[in-house]
Amino acid sequence: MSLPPGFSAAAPEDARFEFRSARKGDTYLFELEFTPNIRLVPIVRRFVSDFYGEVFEDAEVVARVALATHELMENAVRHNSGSEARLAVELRDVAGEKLISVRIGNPAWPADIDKLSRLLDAMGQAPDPLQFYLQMMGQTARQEEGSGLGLTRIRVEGEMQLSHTVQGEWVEITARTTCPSRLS
Amino acid sequence: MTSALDIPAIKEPGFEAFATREENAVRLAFLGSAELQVSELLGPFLARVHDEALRLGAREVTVDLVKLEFMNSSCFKRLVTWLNLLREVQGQSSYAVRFLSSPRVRWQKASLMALSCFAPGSVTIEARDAS
Repeated sequence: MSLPPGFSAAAPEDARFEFRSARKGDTYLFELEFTPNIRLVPIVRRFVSDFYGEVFEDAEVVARVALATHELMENAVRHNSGSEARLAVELRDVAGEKLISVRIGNPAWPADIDKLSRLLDAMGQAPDPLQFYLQMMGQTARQEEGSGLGLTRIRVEGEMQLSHTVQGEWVEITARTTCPSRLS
Repeated sequence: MTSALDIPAIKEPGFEAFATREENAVRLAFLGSAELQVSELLGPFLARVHDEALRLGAREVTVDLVKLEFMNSSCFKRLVTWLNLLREVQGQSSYAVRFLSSPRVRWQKASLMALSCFAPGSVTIEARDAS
């Protein structure tokens, strides 16, 4: 599977990135390594939307994946303590369902890693994701900086499960969802 | 509502927001994609909308999102902050917020549902086709 030429043409001149895409059977994979650049985020979101929109019938799911891609990439740019980040968007068959995952990795500062861990723990323990979201919205309404709304948005609006791993300063966040197999 | 509306528009590459006055209402339109770069502008814009709606005694603020491709969480947060201001306004000086959304732009459904839960009684959502 080839990428549309517009992807490179639309990227900002100062953006540094490498991408790979592949189809193996019913598995579709898109990987991107990039230096943090906020202007790359909407371009990748549109690309993911187009790329998976072509192979997946459910526009609702594609929109959720695009939203997760945008929010995770923006997170990786804003909270990056180094000069690299890696994105992987995968769609594959698992037990008659499609498993869709959006994974992002980047180096981050310890304080941001602690904050992330606390947020994802609290989100995971919340009995009602919507109530948790509304609570976050109330808390963040008066905060000038930072909110955690992006990740909570992926959980509630994107209807995706979030998890993370930490190795040293490298943080990886994964958003996952499943849906019935309806590949075109 | 007899005074002029005083809300400067936002015109940035990829995003525009402007306000117009209608009878007893203020109408906002967002076009393009609201992302990190415009978040800092959207906060003061919406705070101004709130002040102007109260000053003019508007009964409703309509927010047309039909031509808004995407809104990131930083800009979404600005809407939350605005609706929180509205929640704090008591009694008859308050106004309603009506979002016009596109059924084709799928993130809008979930985001607006969350906003209507955040400010129940103040927010309504109406689906519109882009013309």
